[in-house]
Amino acid sequence: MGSPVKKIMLCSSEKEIFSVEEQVMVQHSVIINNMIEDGSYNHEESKIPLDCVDSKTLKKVIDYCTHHTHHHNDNQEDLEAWDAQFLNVDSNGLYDLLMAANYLEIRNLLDLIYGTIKNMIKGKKIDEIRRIFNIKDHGFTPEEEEQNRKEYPHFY
Amino acid sequence: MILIHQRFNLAFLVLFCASNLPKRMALTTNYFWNITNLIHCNDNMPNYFEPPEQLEMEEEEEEEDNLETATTINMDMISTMPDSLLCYILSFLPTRDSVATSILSRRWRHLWKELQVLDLDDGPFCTPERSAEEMDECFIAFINAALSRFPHIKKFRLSCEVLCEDDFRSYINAVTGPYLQELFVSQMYSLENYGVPCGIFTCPSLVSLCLKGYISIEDEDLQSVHLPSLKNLELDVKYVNADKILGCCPVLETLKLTLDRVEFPTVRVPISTLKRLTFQDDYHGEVVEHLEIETPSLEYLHVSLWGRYLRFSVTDFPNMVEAHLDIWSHQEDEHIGWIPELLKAVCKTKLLRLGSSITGSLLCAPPIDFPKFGCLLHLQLRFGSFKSRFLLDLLHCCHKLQVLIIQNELHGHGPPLNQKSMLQPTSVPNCVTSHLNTFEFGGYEDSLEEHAFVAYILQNGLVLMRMMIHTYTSYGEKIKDHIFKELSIVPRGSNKCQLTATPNPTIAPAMQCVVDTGQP
Repeated sequence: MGSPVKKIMLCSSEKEIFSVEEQVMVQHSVIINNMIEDGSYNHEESKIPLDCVDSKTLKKVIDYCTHHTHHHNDNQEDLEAWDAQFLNVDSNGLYDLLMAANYLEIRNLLDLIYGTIKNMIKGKKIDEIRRIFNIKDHGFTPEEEEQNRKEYPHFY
Repeated sequence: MILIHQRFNLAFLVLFCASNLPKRMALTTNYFWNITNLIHCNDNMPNYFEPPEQLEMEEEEEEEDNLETATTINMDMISTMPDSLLCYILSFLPTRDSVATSILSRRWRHLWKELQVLDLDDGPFCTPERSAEEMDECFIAFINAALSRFPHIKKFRLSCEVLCEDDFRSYINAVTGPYLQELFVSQMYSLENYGVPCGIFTCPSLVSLCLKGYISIEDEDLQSVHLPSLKNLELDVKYVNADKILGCCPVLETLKLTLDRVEFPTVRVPISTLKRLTFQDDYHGEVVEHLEIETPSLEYLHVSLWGRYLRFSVTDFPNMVEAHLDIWSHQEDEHIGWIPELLKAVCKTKLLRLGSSITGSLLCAPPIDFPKFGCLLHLQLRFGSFKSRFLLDLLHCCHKLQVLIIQNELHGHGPPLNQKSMLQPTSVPNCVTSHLNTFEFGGYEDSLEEHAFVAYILQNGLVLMRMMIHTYTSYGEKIKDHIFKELSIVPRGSNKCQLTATPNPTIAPAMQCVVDTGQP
């Protein structure tokens, strides 16, 4: 057997500690890659605090990075199917993931989420988008809203 | 920052149109006026145009609800995202959709005005009740309004069917300049080929250029090509001397080239920075003297050729990851002549896909010595007719292969046979006993040879995890069940092997029977 797999510790906002293969996070997260490269992470004692990422989201992010590290040779269709299943979450879950991916700078995950949000808007009617994004307070006065509906009926 | 609180100025539009754009303004009342108006409108601004006739307006029941619940504060999470992220997402949407988000909620009202993206498609403007001229006018009004709104366009996408050539050219001209980074133009229907302004070939910041459809790029427009930032180029047009462009893109990484007619005796792709190359022709047997691919950094290669390429030269590709090859064979040539060379050039690849034309040529020719595919993990083959001998020869050269997918394309080699003994090769390929974990067979007919091969893999695949059989489309459930039964009694070399059979040749199984068995 080769040398043991190097691990790093990630700490969620609930102070839960996740141990992940270093290579997995280095490959995907620009931030963690930089920390390892410039030596600001000490393998003996440090853990990386991610105060704005909750455990549930962090676990998903780690799942994503792990899968894409170990299955990058899979064919495109399989990977896309996995991604679609992975992002089958409600819009708040998607938001949490987006914020985490943005914070950790995981570019391929970010692109995946952007694409998903884009498809939630593309070709859809306003009422439908409001439902999907849970926009209950559109902030227009009743007069403005009425005016918009009158002028642009096909968008509703 | 562009035009956030600036009121729309009609004089500005007129001026802009006069200087850059065709002077055409439509006065039709329809659905698409809505979006044109939306672009023109701003807070507290009256419409400069007649409000549209309301076509088949549907009264939404939720209207009341929405207004009632508007008082409760329950902000959605997506809307709390920073402007920069929301704008980034909007930049991937067609302009029609991104502009429409301004009436989604107050939060979204001005976001689209930050965009430097125009993504226009005249497709939705084409409705049966409208004449071509009307469509044209609606679309032009829409583009004019949009162009006046977005002065420094970074990304311009134009897909059109009805636009006339002068307008087509002038819109591209209007966005060409130092800001433009991405240009996508597709002209999918026309009686004659359209030209494009030569300015796009000297755009300093252009990163991505895609020209598709009934477009002809004249040689004289390619006198002084210089695209210092271009990384992505896609050309699928009716006429272009690609040679004149390819030599002038010093940092090009991705090239997709589709050639429509044979115009030049030599096709050359000499780009040292290129990582991804997709090259296909539509030649139907016409002759090309020489094909040269000199791209040592290549990681992805996809060639799909129908022409007769008499000579071929190629560099080695030490970084190759994925190669898809399909090359039509011409019996009268010694066409097979350079296929081994190509296989040798891609022998470092991790994934190899061979189409049925190339396997057909190889099957007709005397057996060749395959190169050693030392890094190959994933092999996918399409066959006109399945030949186990050929496949075994190939497997002997792929020591690390983990995934093998074969697809039988032509059918009708007789009914399923019961006799099950042939194929007794002297030595089992290394990869089968030590690496192969997935085997998939599409269009399986259960011919004598196919059955023998599948049984051979089941018996000798010591680390096999998954074997998936997709039976020939015309076979029903019954035959599939019979085939499955026959295969499940074959002794298996791996006690972890899971066998599935589906009556569908596609990868995604609609109906499946799974049997998880231990060692028989």
